[in-house]
Amino acid sequence: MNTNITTDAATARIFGPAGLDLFDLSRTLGRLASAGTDLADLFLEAKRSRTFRLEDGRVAGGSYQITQGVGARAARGGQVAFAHSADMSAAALATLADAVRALDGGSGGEVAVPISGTPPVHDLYPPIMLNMPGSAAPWIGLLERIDAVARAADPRVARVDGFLRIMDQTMLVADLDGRIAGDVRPTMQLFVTVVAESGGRRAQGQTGLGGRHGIEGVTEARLDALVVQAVAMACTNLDARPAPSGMMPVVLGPGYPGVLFHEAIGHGLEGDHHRKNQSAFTGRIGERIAAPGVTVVDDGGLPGLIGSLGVDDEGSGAMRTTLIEDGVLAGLMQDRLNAGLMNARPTGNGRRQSYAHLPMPRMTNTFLLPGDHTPADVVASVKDGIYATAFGGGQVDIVSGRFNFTTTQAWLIENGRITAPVEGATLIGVGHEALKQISMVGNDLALDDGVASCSKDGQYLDVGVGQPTIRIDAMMVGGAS
Amino acid sequence: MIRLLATDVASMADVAAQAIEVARRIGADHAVASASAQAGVRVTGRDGATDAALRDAGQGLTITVYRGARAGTASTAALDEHAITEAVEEAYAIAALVGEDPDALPPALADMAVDTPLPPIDAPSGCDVASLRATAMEGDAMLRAASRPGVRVETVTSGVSSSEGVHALATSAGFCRGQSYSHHGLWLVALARDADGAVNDSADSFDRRFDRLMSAHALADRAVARATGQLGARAVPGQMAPVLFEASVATALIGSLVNALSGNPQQRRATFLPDALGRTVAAPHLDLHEDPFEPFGVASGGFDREGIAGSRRAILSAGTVKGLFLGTRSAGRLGMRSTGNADGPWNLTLTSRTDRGSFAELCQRMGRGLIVRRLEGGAIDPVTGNWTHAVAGTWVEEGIPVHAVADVTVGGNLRDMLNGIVAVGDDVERRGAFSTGSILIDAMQIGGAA
Repeated sequence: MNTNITTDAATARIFGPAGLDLFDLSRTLGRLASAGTDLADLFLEAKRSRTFRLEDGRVAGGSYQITQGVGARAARGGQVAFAHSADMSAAALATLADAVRALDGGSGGEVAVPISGTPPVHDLYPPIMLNMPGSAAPWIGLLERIDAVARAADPRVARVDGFLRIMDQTMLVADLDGRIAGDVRPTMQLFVTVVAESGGRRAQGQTGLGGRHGIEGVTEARLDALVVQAVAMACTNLDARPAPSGMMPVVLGPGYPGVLFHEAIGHGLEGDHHRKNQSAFTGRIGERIAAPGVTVVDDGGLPGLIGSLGVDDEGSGAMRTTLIEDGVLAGLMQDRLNAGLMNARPTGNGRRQSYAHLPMPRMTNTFLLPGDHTPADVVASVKDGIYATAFGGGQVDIVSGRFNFTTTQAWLIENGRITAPVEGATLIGVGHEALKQISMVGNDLALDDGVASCSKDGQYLDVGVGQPTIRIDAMMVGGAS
Repeated sequence: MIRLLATDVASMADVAAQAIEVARRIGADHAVASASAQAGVRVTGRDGATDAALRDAGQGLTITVYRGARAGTASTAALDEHAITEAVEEAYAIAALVGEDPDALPPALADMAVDTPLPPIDAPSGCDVASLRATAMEGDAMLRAASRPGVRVETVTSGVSSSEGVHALATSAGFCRGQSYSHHGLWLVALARDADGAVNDSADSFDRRFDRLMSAHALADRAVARATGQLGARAVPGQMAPVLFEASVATALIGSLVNALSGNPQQRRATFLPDALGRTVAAPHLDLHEDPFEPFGVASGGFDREGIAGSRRAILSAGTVKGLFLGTRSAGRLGMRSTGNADGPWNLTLTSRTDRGSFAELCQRMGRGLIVRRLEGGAIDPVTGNWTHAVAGTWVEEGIPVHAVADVTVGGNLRDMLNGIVAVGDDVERRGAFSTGSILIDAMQIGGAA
């Protein structure tokens, strides 16, 4: 008896409307495979999402999206053929398999692939649907609250914008080895942007929250704290001066600044870059790249986070992969294709933006584990430097390891004290060198609030990043002064 | 002729019209529907073999439904009757939940591009997978053949794509028009490796006509020169210096200007150029011209998503703003008329009336400064105009490139940067809607080693 609630729910939600059954998948997989096919899979997806926009104190716009389709992939060695279709009928699946065969010149088989695997079980988030008909009103109430809270927080607030995204993704994947797995993934995200104005100067603050939960996960207290934080950021930035330039000590606050590890080492430890010998870390596993005490993991198995996946897009269960162990490069993140070619095991990192995209090794929740120092001690240790608590994203060049990211909230540190706010400081470095400069790790580990996203080869995904407060002894800071 | 797409404009117009009909039936006051479909083939290769061969196919319907001045939007990738009805009903339900926005009402039929000419933008390549694969393999082989003693060149990706699409727009006011289009591309990413490390860089070409793409040979030369040229890069000391933005990155500066002059930032005053119309915001030798009707232009089209045509016009004339980029809603809020830019700018070209020259001449004119060849991450504050980017490039002394540069930032304020443009090169490059030569700016802050 199959007792996997998640896969059962996914199967019902996908098979029902499309009029499919398990044997349709078996037959299509048989058609996809030909002599020499090492890997083949079918990924079926149904997505419903709603967005609402708050502008000038009222909900100014809303949208609803229905996305659905199936992607079919077959690989021989590292050569992949892939086609996709928005039509999920049995006839469309057959056409799709033929399209894949036409791409790599092989001819498909007639023998159905028996599907018998046991899907992974998880309880990281419930298989609930957030976008039921008529379910939008309470979410709108949430959005409408933001304007009043922001304006009450500070008279300098000139403008308040909000953006709400509620998404249900149901996926089902079946492969040539007879495995099948499904998942139902609820996601909500709320972003708040505040513009403050004073003495002819304007400045912006932006915060957000997100998670794999329904509206019950957004209490008034949590919402109000988020709004007040955006107001504080905007008001702080009213007084910001151009950031200084040059090499200097940098203290990064807890949470989102952990994007440093995502950029500086995470991407460089994705299996595909290693298989192709294109990462600055290729061949360096086992090498020390940071001080003892620096341990970084990728963990898709944390309950309720938008970066978590109970089942990845290739049917592998969530795992914790240690990327840096006590300062030493330790492990890679893999999908099935690259794991198979590198004689490694998949690590639950096979992810794709949608059925219309190929899976790749991608991060889930990537973060630095905590150390012993109090955050106050870390700041007090710096004579002259920068303290940054918020960033506007970042990027990395995998080949050279060069990364950069830019602050959206930062201050000078002078004689161990946080003083004047600064704006637009871009921090740059090379992954395998920058981490050697980490000299203090705080005890205040936090994951970001559920707002991080990651782009690779044009595919966008929700991820988690995090860290405790850290001190970096020397980092290149570029500002406008 | 092999066509990749199995549908046509008439079919998409039918889908859009069907959605309008459903909207009318359930009581909507107005409705605007657009339907589209795309199909394409992409092949990427490296190291003498195919990496991936992909058949892309997409379709979608987006409908906006109005209850008085309240609007709701829904989209669906499924185009069967059930999905269309679900989408329209959802859009109608959303319209009941949101506030009124009289400025966002759809335009009147008299203002729409009912019978204006449509520029030609459709040129199917006729390429099959085998010929695309051969092209990808050719690019890959050329990159790898560029290895020389001490410098190994590898292919990160050699890619080629050919795609076709159709879109149609229908409104309850009676507008119903569509167009077919094509889009093709060739791109190469080269990795150069020497004893000290590795760098990668790319070259690409996109066009509506496959036979107008740059040759794999020319792209390979460019990608190899860019990648090998960055080997041994180092920082330079922080300082104020002139900066020469290579044409391929100079287009990003036009993008920042376009954003500042766009309807939404203008009406919300979330721009470093508020009340821009009629103001001189850039050096007085500069012109920026928009042309929606350029045959086979990458950003050409007969009308925007609201059904309004753009026009051939000056955006900047002698550095003074002559036009904004407006859709119906932002135009209404500003007390103006839509400029047919609801989807953004059409083809834009930046030129200088007096200060032009070859790239080498611009280097000479700069004397001592930084060529920016690549913009890495950074931040642009649209409200203050503060602009900072990590960059890669080349240091120039006495007009001669002397060494590759990395690990530096370039910072300034867009207001000063636009006024500080002293010359525009003849080496015109096109990135999406934007065409420009290299741009020389008199002084920017370089953040580098102490």
